[in-house]
Amino acid sequence: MRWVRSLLHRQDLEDRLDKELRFHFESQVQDHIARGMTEDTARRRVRMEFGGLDHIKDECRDQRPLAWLVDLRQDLSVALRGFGRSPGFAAVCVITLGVTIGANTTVFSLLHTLVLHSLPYAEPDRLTVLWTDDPKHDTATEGVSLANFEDWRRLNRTFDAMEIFVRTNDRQLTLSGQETPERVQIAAVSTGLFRLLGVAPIRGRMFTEEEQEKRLDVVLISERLWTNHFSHAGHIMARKLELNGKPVEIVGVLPGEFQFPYWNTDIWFPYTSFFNHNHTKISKIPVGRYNDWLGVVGRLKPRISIDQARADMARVASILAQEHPEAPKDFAGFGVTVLPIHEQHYGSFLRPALWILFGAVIAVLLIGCSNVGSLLLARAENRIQEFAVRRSLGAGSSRLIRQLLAESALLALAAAFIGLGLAQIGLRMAVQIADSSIPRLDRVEIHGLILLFSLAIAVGTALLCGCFPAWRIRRDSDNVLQGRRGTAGNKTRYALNGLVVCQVALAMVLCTVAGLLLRSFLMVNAAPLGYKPEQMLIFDLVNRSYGFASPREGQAHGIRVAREVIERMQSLPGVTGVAYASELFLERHPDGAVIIDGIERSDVPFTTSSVSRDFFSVLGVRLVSGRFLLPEEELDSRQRAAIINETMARHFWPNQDPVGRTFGRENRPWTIVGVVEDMRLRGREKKPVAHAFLPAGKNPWQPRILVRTQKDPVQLVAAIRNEVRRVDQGAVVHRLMSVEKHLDQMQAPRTLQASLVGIFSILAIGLAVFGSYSVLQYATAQRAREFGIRAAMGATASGLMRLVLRRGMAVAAVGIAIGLLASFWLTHLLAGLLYGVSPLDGTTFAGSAVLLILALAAASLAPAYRSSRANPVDCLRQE
Amino acid sequence: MSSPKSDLPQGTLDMLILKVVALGPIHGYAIAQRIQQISKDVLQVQQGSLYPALHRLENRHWLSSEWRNTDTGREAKYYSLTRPGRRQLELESTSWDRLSEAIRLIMQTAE
Repeated sequence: MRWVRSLLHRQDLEDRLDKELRFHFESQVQDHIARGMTEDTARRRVRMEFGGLDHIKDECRDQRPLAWLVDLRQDLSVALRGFGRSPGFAAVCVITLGVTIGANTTVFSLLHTLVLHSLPYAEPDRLTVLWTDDPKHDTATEGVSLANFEDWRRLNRTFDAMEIFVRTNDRQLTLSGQETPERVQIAAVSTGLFRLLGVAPIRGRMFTEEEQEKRLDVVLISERLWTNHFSHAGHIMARKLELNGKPVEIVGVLPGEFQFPYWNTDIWFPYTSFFNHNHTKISKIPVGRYNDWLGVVGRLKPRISIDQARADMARVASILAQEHPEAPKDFAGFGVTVLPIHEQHYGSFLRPALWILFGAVIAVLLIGCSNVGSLLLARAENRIQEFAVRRSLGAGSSRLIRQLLAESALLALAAAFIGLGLAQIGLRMAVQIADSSIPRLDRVEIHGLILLFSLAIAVGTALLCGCFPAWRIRRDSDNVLQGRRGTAGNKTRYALNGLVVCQVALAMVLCTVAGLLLRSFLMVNAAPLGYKPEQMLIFDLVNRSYGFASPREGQAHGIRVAREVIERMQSLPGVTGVAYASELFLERHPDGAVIIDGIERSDVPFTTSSVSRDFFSVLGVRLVSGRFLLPEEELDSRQRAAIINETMARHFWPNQDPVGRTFGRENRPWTIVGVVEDMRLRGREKKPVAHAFLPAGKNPWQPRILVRTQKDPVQLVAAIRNEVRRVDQGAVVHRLMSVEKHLDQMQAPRTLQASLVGIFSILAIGLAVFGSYSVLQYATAQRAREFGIRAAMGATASGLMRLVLRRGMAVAAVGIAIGLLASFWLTHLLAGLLYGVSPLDGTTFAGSAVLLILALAAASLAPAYRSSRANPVDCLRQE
Repeated sequence: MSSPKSDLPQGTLDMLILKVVALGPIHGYAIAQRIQQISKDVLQVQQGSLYPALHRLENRHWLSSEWRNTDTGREAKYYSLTRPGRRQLELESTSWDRLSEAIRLIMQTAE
């Protein structure tokens, strides 16, 4: 209870302490008087004997329980008062640390969600995805045949288990039997896959081996589909779904964060049932060794590295190659690619991009900390006098250190508060920039541990630098009290200059990196698209393929619907043109020999798409030579007229006019009537490939429709959906969005990275400039007397200014030089992320250096100017 | 008054205070006086060590305190020994006896 009292009744305690000591004092005085002293002499004497009364009281207080807490309160209020006296200093420290903590927390949270802890599987580090390596077609991720998979499983020595999924990059079915049919992403997997990944359904069950064996139409659905369509029904068992007009049975629901093998998968089939839904007829499962339609997931044995697995699979591949020498010419071979599972999910761009961000943010953290450090050091140097006085008045050095700790803690706490707010804003911004095109980004949240980590670093810095004066006082308080500025002042100056050099060097590296990324970003955006993406909408019209007596009838219906939709689009107000095409975003090169001008060639195949005649005019594509298709050529594909792009022209007919030449595969060749500019339809970064545009004819089926609008295309979204519904209830408008948004989504990771690194580098420059300014300011203030003397001896204002400027720029130059060297050494790590810019791009390096020099020169100007105004009289009077 | 002063070994002051307080309730000034008298002016307890020590012992519940009037009618804080305080005193005086005996033995043989 006593400690409660010591907290609650502090004043009471103080009074009693005072009373007790005063009693002692008075008694002693009385004794002296009794021995014959006068009262005055007695009092003086006792006062001397007592020494510092406050000191005794302080030591008594220290004996109280929870004395530290009381002290803390006192320390904090003293610190607050101190900051109140120099609000600028406090604000700058808090803001610098806050921004640093905020940036750190943002990036670490992104990293944590997307890279470190992202995948909702058991022991994701041991999970790999295996593909066939196909150097012939320039891809390392070709599919795997069922026969090969079974041999892999049998022959490998490094995997605990292997399971399969059907490689269906973008396979959708129509969820029919509801008012507005929608397209849902489907996947097909082996039953063991869920077990291998360590995933269990949140409702219902997995499908069984038997169901897989019998190719039953049973499915697992996503949590999203469940909540949107069935949650009100409560019980999952024996629920039916209608897919492409066919009933399938739901057996279970998978947890929301499970999205394998593809993002946004809503429905999982047993892999055997996959072909039940391939078009309208049930087809056989391809079991041949050269039918590559599967992807393989493998769980590594414990403590097996991915390189060991790669070596093991290379061994398996050589065995298979020996066993099967009769492989067809077009077969990819038996080479195996083993990838960590996260690469399957995030691709190879996002992860390195995030690591670059990580580096950038660490640099900002270091700069921010050293900045605050130098601020505290400079302030500490100025406070040494104050501390020396306090110490000589009886404050113990532990008490002084506590005081400094309290100040640092206060700064760090305020900074943490700001940082947390900034991190929240930062994450929201990141989500917005990426705009749902980066998987799982919407799940990002601030991680408490990460916040603590940043906070710890900030507090550490504050403590380290904040306690410097206490340490100095211990060593040479006498010097300080006598007004001597010893060598320690110089040491502080060296330390400060060192910190500035580090800051500038880091800012330099960051600036170069950001410059390179920014240039890549600009290059990507400046890459000629070959068409005008503004004010254009694109969507897939997916026709109903079920409920017809024969596939032919379904197709006829689809063509009718498509034609009518296109007609109606054309008459919509605000629409200036409509075009359609098939396979516009085709990723794969079709197999087979290429025949050019009647001669078979084996090099670079080309891709094709069928387009309507007004395709080029609606997209605004420039004709390079020849002419566009004539109306009769469009309608009658027997005329075999085609248009090719420049890449194809350059490849097959270098330095010749390809108009009038022919190309084709096994069937009748096409005659080239025109050459158009290269178009980047698959994203700004994808280099154009050789491509031929064939006439779509008058029978569009499952077309991809492009609508050119007068104004903001988004306004037409609802109208388009309405028109389609009016034509056919069963038709689905899929992936309707503006072409610009489509392009933006494809380069979201790059945009996110460029903007974040850009922000960080601006932050870094700002901090470095500020740091160099405050250090120079401090240094000139320290040398005020010297400047005064110089002025008295006849130094001119400009001479003094030059003196300071030279000093500031010398430090900056060292920092920039170190930064440039580090950049030379580091930027090659970026090579894979750059586009159209060399990692040692001279313009970027020079530009960054010049930018920093200018910024730092500007930072030196104010202190330089101030020193040039040095007044000898004032300076001497101050002493 | 050039009495030879001796510095107390660390921790001994607490023991001396406990011993003096054991004789009956007593205030701080009297404790200092008593120690000085008994030691024939060899030991002089400074206020700067006495009061922190008193407060420390009180917080450890070895001493209790109450405010009473002195003979001269002034109010003073009187300390008295608690039961745990008595136990502590016994503990410390036994170990002190052993220690001083040991030191004495060594000093004798050395001569």
